Order: sequence, then C-alpha cells, then structure tokens
Amino acid sequence: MTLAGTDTLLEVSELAVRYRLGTHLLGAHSFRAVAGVSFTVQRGESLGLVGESGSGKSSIARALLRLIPATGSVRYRGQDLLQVEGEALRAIRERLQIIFQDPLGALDPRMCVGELVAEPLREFRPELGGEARRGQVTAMLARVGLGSELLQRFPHQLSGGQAQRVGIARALMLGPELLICDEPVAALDMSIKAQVANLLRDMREEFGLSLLFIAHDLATVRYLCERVLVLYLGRVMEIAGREALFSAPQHPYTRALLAANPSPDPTGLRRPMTLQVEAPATLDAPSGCVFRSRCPLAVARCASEVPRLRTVGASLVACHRAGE
Amino acid sequence: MTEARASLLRVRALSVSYPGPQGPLRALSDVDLDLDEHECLGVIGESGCGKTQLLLALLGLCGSAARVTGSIRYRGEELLGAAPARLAALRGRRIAMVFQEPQSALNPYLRIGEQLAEGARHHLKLTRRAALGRAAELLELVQISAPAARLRLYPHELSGGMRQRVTIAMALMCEPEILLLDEPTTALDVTIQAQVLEVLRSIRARTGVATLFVSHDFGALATLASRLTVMYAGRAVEQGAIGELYAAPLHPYTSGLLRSLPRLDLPVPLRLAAIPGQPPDLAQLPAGCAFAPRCPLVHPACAERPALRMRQGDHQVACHCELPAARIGEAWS
Ligand code: SF4
Ligand code: SF4
Repeated sequence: MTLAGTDTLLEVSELAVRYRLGTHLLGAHSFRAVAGVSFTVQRGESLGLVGESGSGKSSIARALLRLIPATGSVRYRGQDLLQVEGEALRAIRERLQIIFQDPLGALDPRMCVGELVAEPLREFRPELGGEARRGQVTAMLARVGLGSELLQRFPHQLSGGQAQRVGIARALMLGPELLICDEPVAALDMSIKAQVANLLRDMREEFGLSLLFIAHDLATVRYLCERVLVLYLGRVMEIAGREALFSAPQHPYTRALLAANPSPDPTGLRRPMTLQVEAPATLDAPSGCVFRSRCPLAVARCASEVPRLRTVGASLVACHRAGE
Repeated sequence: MTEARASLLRVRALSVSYPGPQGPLRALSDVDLDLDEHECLGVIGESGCGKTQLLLALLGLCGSAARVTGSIRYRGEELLGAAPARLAALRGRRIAMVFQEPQSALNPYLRIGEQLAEGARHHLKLTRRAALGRAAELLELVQISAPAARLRLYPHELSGGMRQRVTIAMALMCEPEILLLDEPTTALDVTIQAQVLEVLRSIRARTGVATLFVSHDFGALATLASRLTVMYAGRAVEQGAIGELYAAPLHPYTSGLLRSLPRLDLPVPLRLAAIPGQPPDLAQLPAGCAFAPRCPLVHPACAERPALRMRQGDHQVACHCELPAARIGEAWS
C-alpha cells in the first residue's frame, strides 16, 4: 500500500513468528512468539518497542532482519522485506542497520576496530580506494566519539561503551535510513548508558535517521522515542505518542509497567506497585486477552474474546475495558 | 576508640587486591562501613567499583590469590583471618546471601524442598520433616502460594521471579542476622522486580534482618535502604541517609550519576547530562582522586587522594571540593 504523500518508511502488517519446539508424535510443537503485530515507522521518527521477556520484541527485530522465518508483511519503501531476494535484499540491507545489546558479541574478535568499521565499506563500496576508506573510517570514529588511537585495538581491548560506539559506527557507515536498536544501552554501565543514549540522539539528528528502538527500560524509551508500542506475550497492547503513553496510559498492562518502575525520588521514596501473578509461559497463553491472568480489571468477556486494537483517548489500545 | 553505635557488622580499612600482569589489581581500597541491627544499607556502583568484592570479602570467599587486609568484625568477632570452619559455620547460618542469578544458587537436580531443608538440617540440626515444615513456612513468607505443593517442584518448573523468591527463602532458612543481597532484581523483568522488592520489604518488616543491598539501580535501592554507600573504583566515595543523598549529593560522581539518569517522573530533558569518560583501570589507578579525569570540579588539590570525612551530620564524602550540593549539580550542566 502506498499512500501518496505519506512518509512511511517501514510498514509491518500482521507479523507473526512461530518457534518450533521439536517434533512430537502428534505433530510439531510450536508457540507463537509474535502474533499479528502491525505498526509503521515514519521517516525521521523514533518508535519505541517495549516489553518484558517473552514479549516478542527481540523476535520482531530478528524477523525484520530475516534472521528467523516470519509470516505477514514488512514493507520497506514499498518492497516486502520478507520476500525480496538477491540485489533487492542487498539494497535494503544497506539502508537498514542494527545495533545489538551485547556490543562485544556483535563484533568479530579477530578484526581490529579499523577493519570492523571499514567492513561495510569493503562490502558495499568496493570501488572506494584504501585511502578514501581509511579517511571515512577515521571520520566516523571521531563522530561517535572514538579517537584514532583505537584503530588497531581488538574488541577484547575495548570497554563496553567503546564497543557499542564501534557497533554504532559500523551501522552508520553506509548512511542508513533506519536503525534498529535492540536494547543498545541495557548491558552498559550506569555512567555509560547516558553517553550512548545521547550519541544515538545526536546521530539521529545528524543523519536524519529513523529508529526502531527496542528496550525494556521505559525511561530511556521516553527520552529517545516520540511514539511507543507496548508488547505483551507477542501481542500489541497499546500504541501511543510519548505524551499520551506516559501521562495517560490506557492499557492496564502499560499502567502496571509504569507503576512498577521504582524512581529515585528523595521525597516520595514511593513503593512500586506490583502485579500479583507472573506472566504465564508463552506456551500456554490464555484464550481471549493474553494479559487476563494478571489483569486487575479482567471480566468474563476477556476470557472469550480477543480484544482488538481500537482508539481510546490518544492511544490505540487492545483492551475491552479501556476508556470505561 | 569509642563507638557511638553498636554495629552488627563493622568493616574498617578493608582492601582486596589480586596479582596482575601490570601490578596488583586493587579491587577494594580502604573501605569502612557499619551495618547496624535491623537496618538496610544500600551499596551502589558500576561494574568494577568493588561492590561485589565487598560481598565476597564479607563471606571470606575472595579466593587464595587475593590479598585481603583490614578488619571485618561481626558482633566484635574478627572475621578476617578466622578459621575456615568458623567462616563456613557463619555463612548460611548468621550471614546469608542472595545472588543476582537465582540459577547459580539452586541445584537443578534437586527438588526445591530438599534444597531449602538442607541448610536447616545442617546448621539447625532439624529433622527432615521439621526442616520441610520450615521450608513451607518460608515459601509462604516470600509470598509463594500453595507452598507444600511447590516444595516438590524442580527449579526449572518455576519462573525466574519465583526462583528468586525461593533463593530468598533459602537464605532465610536459618534466621540469619545479616542478609547480603547482590543485585537480587537485576536479572528480572520490571513487574517481577517490583514483586521481589515488595517481598524483601515485607520480610524486613517482619523479621528485622539487617540487610546489605548491593545494586546499580537507584530506584530499587530507594525502596529498601535507609542509608547508602556510593562506590567508585574500589572506594566508598559518599555515604549517608538515602533521602538526603538523593536530594543533595555532595560527591561530584553521585551528583553526576543522578543527573544523568533518564527519569519517568521528570520532564524529558533535551539532553541527558552524561558523565564523560569511563571508570579507571583498577591496575593503573591514579595517585590522587580516581574520579579526577571525569570530574568537572577537579582542582590541584585533587592530585592527593581525598579521605572519606563527615560533611553534614551523618553525610560522609571523599572529595576535596567544599561546594554545596546545588553548586556541584550546576557544574554538570
Ligand atoms: S481485555 Fe480484559 S483482561 Fe485484557 S487488559 Fe483489558 S480488562 Fe484486562
Ligand atoms: S576530589 Fe577533586 S577530582 Fe575528586 S571528585 Fe572531588 S573535586 Fe572531583
């Protein structure tokens, strides 16, 4: 679907991911890690994908990168990312990059920083001469806040923050349009998280990037994203703009997530609100609303009918009782 | 030396170093702290700040390569250099620990009832039956429903949050006087973290167990601790009542960290006030203040190492700068 005049970069519809759990006498066992997720990312926008473990947020990132099989459609500038092959896929890969939670694990331990950052150029811009390539590498390292003294270092000689900056430099080398960030600051030390969050913000401005920012840390998402999508057990619970989501959340799960966040507020020292029961294993997700075993508002209808996304307030919410 | 308060645990000049290729790695340097009966003291810092080393030293578990000096007194009894049998008797019985990863504390092949009962049978000489009875009581204390049935489960049959509550129950089996918490909620989802913090809060209210809570999460610490020690590069750099420390931090590092956190309860800032640079290499610590390369208030006096000293009331700071908290905060913006 191409609407004239819209600036939709990425359009995900009915994305579903199933994991097979080995075969059984009665057929293959599988569970749905992602079920019918739809969203869009506009040009220049930063969309946050939040959820806890089992929410499917990392599966979505993997599916977009074709690292795992998925169904549904993922349109990137009109082409279906899940279908394209060969040159077309390569062209999309150039424009769509990812940075990972574990920056060290994402870097080849045998390559030094200079080689790591030059690698995308070698692959996608083979016509560049060595001199030009080296110039671009040094310039990019400087942009992400790394000195050229790191060029010869190997990943194990880097701190977590430096390794993540190398990951960001690699991802930006080809001038992408969309950067998928899979928990990019979660594994970093306290004083380094803010540095990397700021760097992402600067790079976004400088390169006009769109971000798909996957995280469990709501405060970082609020800092970096204009729109937020809340996932629970592979389903979308709520999608809303930053203001609406954080000041007037409509879904009981969004409210619980926000309330569970302890704040270092010296006056209140408030106690986080708790939900009674833990999430069921994704295998036996309940019928109806997936959140109902933990929902304080659940009613009979929630067991029989899956809530569809609908507009309540300034949000899109999947809850029968939202807006009551 | 006169003591104003009777500490349950009194740590003085505790240092831990390990031999390294570039000279000794100073994991912990000259740490003083007191844990009073019933109180919860929080310890915050980044990786390599020494918070984990502190816990290992308290348990006598630094390993044979470590050089541990200073003093650790538990009810007046010196634990540094105490006989291994004595330390083993204290561990689990008087001083118990909860780890970040519940898996590391649980044996995957034993039913949780057996694992819970083991300590009580060994330390308290309870019969198996009595120990299982106590195990069921403790599961109830950590808010696990149907405790008798859960005792028969294996660890993998429990969710992560449930497993962590089981390890908390296990730590409490012998009614310890001191509970050491090493990032007990870091590996958990935020809604589960809130449950575990609530369980810990209610346990403390009921049993009054003195608690040393190590974390890198200011928010989680605020829910339990009344005092806080901030560590940087192996040293305690600031210590005081937690509310005061959050409202008016006097060490530039604490001040910078608090200002750099994205917060849900404040307006979205244009930019996070990040601390530049990174923590120092523990094998090559600078001679003066270890925070100097990152500090906006560094001045010539900082070439000499600042000692932890009283500033206001109970608020201790290791810094040469005498500015009030508001001015220190301004230095970061
Ligand atoms: S649909 Fe029902 S169970 Fe689901 S969130 Fe809404 S009220 Fe709760
Ligand atoms: S002693 Fe000096 S360098 Fe260290 S924190 Fe204080 S002002 Fe900064």
